[in-house]
Amino acid sequence: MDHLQQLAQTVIQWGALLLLFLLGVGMLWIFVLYLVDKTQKIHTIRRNYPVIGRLRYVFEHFGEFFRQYFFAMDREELPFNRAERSWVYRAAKNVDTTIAFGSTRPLDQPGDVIFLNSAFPVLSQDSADAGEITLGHGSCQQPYTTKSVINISGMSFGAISKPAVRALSKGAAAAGIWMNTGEGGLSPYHLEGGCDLVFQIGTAKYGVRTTEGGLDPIKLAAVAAHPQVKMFEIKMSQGAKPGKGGILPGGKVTERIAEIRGIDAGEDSISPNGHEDIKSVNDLLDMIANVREITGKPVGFKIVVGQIEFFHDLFDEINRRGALSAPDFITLDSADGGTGAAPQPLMDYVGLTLRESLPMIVDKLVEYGLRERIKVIASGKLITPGKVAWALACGADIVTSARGFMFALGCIQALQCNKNTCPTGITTHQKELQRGLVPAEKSLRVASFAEQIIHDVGVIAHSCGVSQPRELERRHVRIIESGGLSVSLAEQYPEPVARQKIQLPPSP
Amino acid sequence: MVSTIMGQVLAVSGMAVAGLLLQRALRIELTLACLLVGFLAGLGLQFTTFDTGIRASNLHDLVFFVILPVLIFEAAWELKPVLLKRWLLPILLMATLGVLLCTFITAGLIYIGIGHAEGFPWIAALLAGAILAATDPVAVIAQLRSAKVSGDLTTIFEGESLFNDATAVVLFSIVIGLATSSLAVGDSYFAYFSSVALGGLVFGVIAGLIVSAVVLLVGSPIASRFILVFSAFASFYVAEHLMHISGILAVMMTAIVSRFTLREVEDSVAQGIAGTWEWLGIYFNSILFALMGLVITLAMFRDQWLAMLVAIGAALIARLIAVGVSCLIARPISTPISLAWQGLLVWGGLRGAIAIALVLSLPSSLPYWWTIQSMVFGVVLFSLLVQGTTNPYLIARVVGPQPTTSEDP
Repeated sequence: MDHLQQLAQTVIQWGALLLLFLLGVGMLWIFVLYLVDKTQKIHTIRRNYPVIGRLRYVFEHFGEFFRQYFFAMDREELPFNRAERSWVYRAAKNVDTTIAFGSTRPLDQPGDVIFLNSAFPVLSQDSADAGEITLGHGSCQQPYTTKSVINISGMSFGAISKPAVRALSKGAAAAGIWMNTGEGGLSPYHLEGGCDLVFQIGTAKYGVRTTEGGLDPIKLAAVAAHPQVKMFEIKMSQGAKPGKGGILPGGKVTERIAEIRGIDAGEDSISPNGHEDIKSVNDLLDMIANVREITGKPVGFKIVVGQIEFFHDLFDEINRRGALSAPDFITLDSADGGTGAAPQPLMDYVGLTLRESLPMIVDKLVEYGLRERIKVIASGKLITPGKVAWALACGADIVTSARGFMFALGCIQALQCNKNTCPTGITTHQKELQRGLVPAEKSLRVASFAEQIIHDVGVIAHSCGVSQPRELERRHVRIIESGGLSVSLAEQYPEPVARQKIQLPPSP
Repeated sequence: MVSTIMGQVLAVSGMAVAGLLLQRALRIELTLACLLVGFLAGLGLQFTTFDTGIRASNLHDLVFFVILPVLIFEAAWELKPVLLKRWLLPILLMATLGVLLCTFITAGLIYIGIGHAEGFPWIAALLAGAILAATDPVAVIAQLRSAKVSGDLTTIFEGESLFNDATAVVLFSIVIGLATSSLAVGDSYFAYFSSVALGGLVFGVIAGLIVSAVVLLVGSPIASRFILVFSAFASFYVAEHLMHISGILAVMMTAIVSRFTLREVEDSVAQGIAGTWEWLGIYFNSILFALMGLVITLAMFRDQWLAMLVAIGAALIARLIAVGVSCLIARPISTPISLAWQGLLVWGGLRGAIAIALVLSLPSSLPYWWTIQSMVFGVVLFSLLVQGTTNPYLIARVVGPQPTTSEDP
């Protein structure tokens, strides 16, 4: 007993001494901090409020995380709120996606979308698969037929990491959807999973460029020779930065990426803001014809809708040249879209969002009689079934999403895509951070997310009384206006009258 | 008395200046130039009555209380806090485990190589091992800078050699205490070692904070320079002489802590401090090499060439194993160091100022001091003449144009 008591006493005595000592050192430390803050000339707050002023920086830093985890309401974050993200996470993990006790969506905000249920919903035994759709029918040697509704939008290898590309490629193959390569060229990792691919030709033409920066027909033919590459997409502009080319910050340009792109490692990879060889609608149609001839596969272009005259000019010119000269598809990107590095003014202020541009362009196509010929692919924040269903109802044939699939890969919206410090390994090339992302596991989530979204769009369709997603029409949708009352989408955008009918080859 | 000391200081400084001139004229490394000057002066002094006043008996105190604090403080001041953080773990491993491995492997190989247990016992081999564990980055850093290599590699070199200098000096003090049986140790060397080391580190932190506070309170850039120089000597003196804890670790921590706290006032109160340390560093480096030149004789090479060769081989092998093992252990828990960089660390781990300082401080009462001195001089000369001159080619080959190794090819 005595021993124990003695031991306890020594421990207490030494502990007290140690505490006192640490306290002394701590006070000394604070005193030095005080002097440093008083002396330094850079931070006003710290000069005026030494030591205490430092807390501001600490709180500022942690505030971001506290807001996301503790204070942000389910529906108030941007770009994606928690309700949307959790739906994607749950869908990707293939766990229960039902919710209880009513919606947290307010349902009275101007612009909100609601679908109109039918009194006689389609029974599950009567439901049909999403129908097949063929792109490039009659215009090229190898048209592309697919059943997919939602696909993976363009994210270059470089913007996203090697394991991310692998996981997406494998997941896309499992779900039977396609993956867009983005403008960073075709890497072996894209081909690895065995999914269908859409090759994007960016303004710098990475992967198919000559040393002068023009289009290299030999390299293009080599890319087209891969049977997995099904279509070609010429990128005119992209959602994050309409009017500016792709930016890959130097920190993310590793040896491997530089090699695939044909540039120098470690330097910013900046695409020009437009194609040097496309300066008019004529150039664009020539380019499409050229790529289609070399590759024998469907060719379209991706654009953020801005000045609407472009489409008048383009469709006029198509009608002059004949329907076969038209692009096989147009990808409409929303101006609020985009992963990766972009100047804030462009992200925030330039270009039309999809909610306006999609019905507008679909109407233009109907007006010029090109609706059957040119397929419309919609992209931009379409990560939940409701939004995908809205896009289909507006007239989109196919939907693509980049960020939805990033969430499926485990993205936590840390907003660091441009810094090479992505905490989830998706947009970083640091080996330590990539370690967390295991392609084999995440590919299951990618596939599961795609399947779940198609399934749930089907649920909306059945509820509206149609048997499959592509049968959704504008009359099934109402948009809430200011005042909280809704108006039918069919009234907002009435079906235009076709000016002319174009002769098309018979449907398959 | 004062005038004699003044004369001696001036004579030594004069050799450093002559070394600078010789470097300019012959375009060779400064260290080599000073060595030559010292050697020539040594030859010349035989014919005069001038006394440099340098004796084995006072050299130990001179080295420990004057030269080492400056060299260590200067090296610690050079480190960049941000880069150091990234490589801290491998650096610390190399400087602790690596130094121990290096010491014992060098000692073992030398012991076997000499094969004369009476004339050159274990303790002598251990002394040589501890002395040869300290690396000197000055020459390599200059080469890296001129090759425009990324700051990471430079930081690894600087950090590693700073910390391994400190551990090697601590180890050296303990071994020499054992050799001269002046060490008052209980039963546990480990407890003694850790209390001496820990005491030095803690004292250094406190001293660093106090120094920063004084610098900031005075608030004059000119005063800051001399306060810091004074603090280098003072922290060493108080720790080593008054408190009997490790002075070298105290100086190192004082420098690191004050460097860290003063980093934000570098362009006001702490302005121009780097320059002060630069001149002090180059001054003491030159003096050390000049002293080495003074002590070297041709007889040393004639009598001890085999021991020198054994030491050179042992030092290289030990360094190779120490770096390799430390990096291997650090690999899973930290940013890995590539094999190419490890190669550079081995070949670029020159032995310089600290090794000379330590070997010069050996008491001549030890019967084997002459052998150890020739061995260390041999290794220093080898690393200066062979490693130092071939290193730039290695840097160009290994590092090449790319700045990072974050992505495998």
